[in-house]
Amino acid sequence: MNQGPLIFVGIFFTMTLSWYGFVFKPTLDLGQQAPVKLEETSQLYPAARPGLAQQGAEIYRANGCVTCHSQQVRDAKDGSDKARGWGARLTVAQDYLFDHPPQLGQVRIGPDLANVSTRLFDLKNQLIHLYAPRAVVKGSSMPPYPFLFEVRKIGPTPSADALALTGAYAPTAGFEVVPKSEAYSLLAYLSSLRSEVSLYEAPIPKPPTNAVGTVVGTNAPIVQ
Amino acid sequence: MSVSVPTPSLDTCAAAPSPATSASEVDASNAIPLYGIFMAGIGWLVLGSILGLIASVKLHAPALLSQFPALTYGRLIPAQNTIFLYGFAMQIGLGIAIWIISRLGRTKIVGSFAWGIGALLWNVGVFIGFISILSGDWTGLNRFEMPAATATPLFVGYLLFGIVALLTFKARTVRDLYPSMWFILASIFWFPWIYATASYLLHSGFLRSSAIPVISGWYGHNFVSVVLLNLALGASYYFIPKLSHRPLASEGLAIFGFWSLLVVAPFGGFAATYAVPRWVIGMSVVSSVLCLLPILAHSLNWYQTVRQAGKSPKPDQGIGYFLWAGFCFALFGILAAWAALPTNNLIVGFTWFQTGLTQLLEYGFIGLVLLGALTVVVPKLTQLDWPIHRLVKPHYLLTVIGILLMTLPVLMGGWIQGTGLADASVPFMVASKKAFPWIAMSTVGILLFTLAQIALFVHLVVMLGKAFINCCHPASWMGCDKGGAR
Repeated sequence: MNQGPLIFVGIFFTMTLSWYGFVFKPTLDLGQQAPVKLEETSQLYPAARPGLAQQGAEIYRANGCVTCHSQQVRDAKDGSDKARGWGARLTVAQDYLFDHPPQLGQVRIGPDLANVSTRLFDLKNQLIHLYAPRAVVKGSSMPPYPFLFEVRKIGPTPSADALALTGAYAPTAGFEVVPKSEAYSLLAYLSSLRSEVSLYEAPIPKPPTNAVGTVVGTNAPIVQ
Repeated sequence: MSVSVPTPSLDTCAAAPSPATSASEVDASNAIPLYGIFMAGIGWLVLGSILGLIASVKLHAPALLSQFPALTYGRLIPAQNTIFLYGFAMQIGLGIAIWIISRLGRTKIVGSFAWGIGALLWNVGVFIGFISILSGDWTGLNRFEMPAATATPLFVGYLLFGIVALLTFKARTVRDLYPSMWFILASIFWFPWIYATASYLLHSGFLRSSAIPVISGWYGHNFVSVVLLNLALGASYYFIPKLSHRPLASEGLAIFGFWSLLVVAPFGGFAATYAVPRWVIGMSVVSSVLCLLPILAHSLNWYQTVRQAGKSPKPDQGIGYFLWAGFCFALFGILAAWAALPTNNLIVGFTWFQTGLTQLLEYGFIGLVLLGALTVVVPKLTQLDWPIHRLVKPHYLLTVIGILLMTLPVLMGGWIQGTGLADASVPFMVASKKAFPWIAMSTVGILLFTLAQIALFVHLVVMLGKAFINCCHPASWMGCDKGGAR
């Protein structure tokens, strides 16, 4: 191989091959994606996030939550995600149509968050979890985010938003911990993470029922 | 068929006059532009390693430094990643590449001044990127972390690097193309293409979000597994025969490895991603498995090279870096192919195993080769021995042990974590905690690696001081400095 131009042509060819496959074609295919009408509810999916949740997505991105949390659910044959209750179906490109950028993630030092809103039962508790993860989950390796909160002197009337902290995590007497707007928007973002709708490319199997199918062609009442 | 690296006459102060530029003259003319970027690259590596060390300690003590937003785990890791890839690997890789081009082509660097400006712009870009990431203004995309503001300095800086490299290549007085040149050329052509594509599509904001993971994944994978990898391969093909004083075992294997890697590797990177189109994942799995062939071809080629013709002459000391790098490379190939298979990905997907694999390639192969090359090249540039002999061997040992500790326990921990996670009856926390004793070992590894690189940086500073005294001290003006050889 002593021919400079020949090597150049070869390199150019292999490069073009990969560029065509993984840039040009996906841009054509996925770049045209638009919200779809859901079969069951006739609503468009996905819907754009409300403003506060959109701000929360920025907090999520800026603090690199994606370093430890994925947002993609695997099929049952590829992993235990469904069995763990992290989602009812595989995550597909349609799900992150309005995420800029999509935060798919590669490593799960913490659990998957693709459908975290379905597991957020107590929002106040979730704020405590952001302020001091170990106050909620014993032995958690998640870092605390005290900079999303404000520790301030209790005024004439204690704030209704103050976190109910106890023990080692409680602030010094006379002080209270109040979430900043960043904490609320992050919470709004987490509450918007939900992709449990049935799509053509990722259907959710309907739960089996005991109903006997309609007998076609008769007017006889359905026997339950 | 075996080919040998064209061996220049050994460096002497007053080289015999010859039509082609002598090796020492080549080195001397390149000393200033190259030393600058070597210092900058190692400086970035030290900084990145320190950030990585803090991040790793924080895994065990999450509350540590948590009041500083800039030092939260999720910012430290992308900052470390960026600094390692762009500040260290790309910079030193290009420096070594142009040194090899000018050494093999027996010519001086054409356009040292443009090279200097390019280096300056590149470092400005990395610096802006580093500050932006720590202040939270980063893209959220792996290996493409730096914000849009850095695209122009990085791209223009790179273009200057690339043009100088091509002009130097064109000016070569030895026309034969030794294998190292192919790999380096591939890198130099590949980077502007992928970086321009990624910057245009990802920074402009008009790309539909559903295509972003594919484009950014394609860029990230190509940057590491084609551009940086080929720079490291070029360096390996130069230094392994050179340091072992043996001709390269097989040019045929090198040709096979070169082309097959270029055809197959660019389609990788999605074997452990799920929310992208199935055919993308499928091609990546095939790519990871097929990459085993070129990886083993290269490793075998180096092994045969070092092994041939018995024990004498004894290889130079620096060969150790390259042998361990070759070992990491082969291990990476085997494990990546293994992990890509769906039955195994079921276990190791989304675990620390993925981190371990990445680090095996980035630190174990690319990093180790570049550090090894640097320790060989720097004394040639300054035409002085490393001033502190006691630091040479410890740097080698600490770097290799550090990298092995950084990667192997993480792979093991990831596998253990994965076997726990695959069983839905094991709670997430329980499965995750099983990996932590292994992760603690990797923290020790990062510590050793960081210490080694701090020592190297100090050594570079001392060397610079010594070279400065030799060259610019009035007493040395009477000495031999023909052609700026000192």
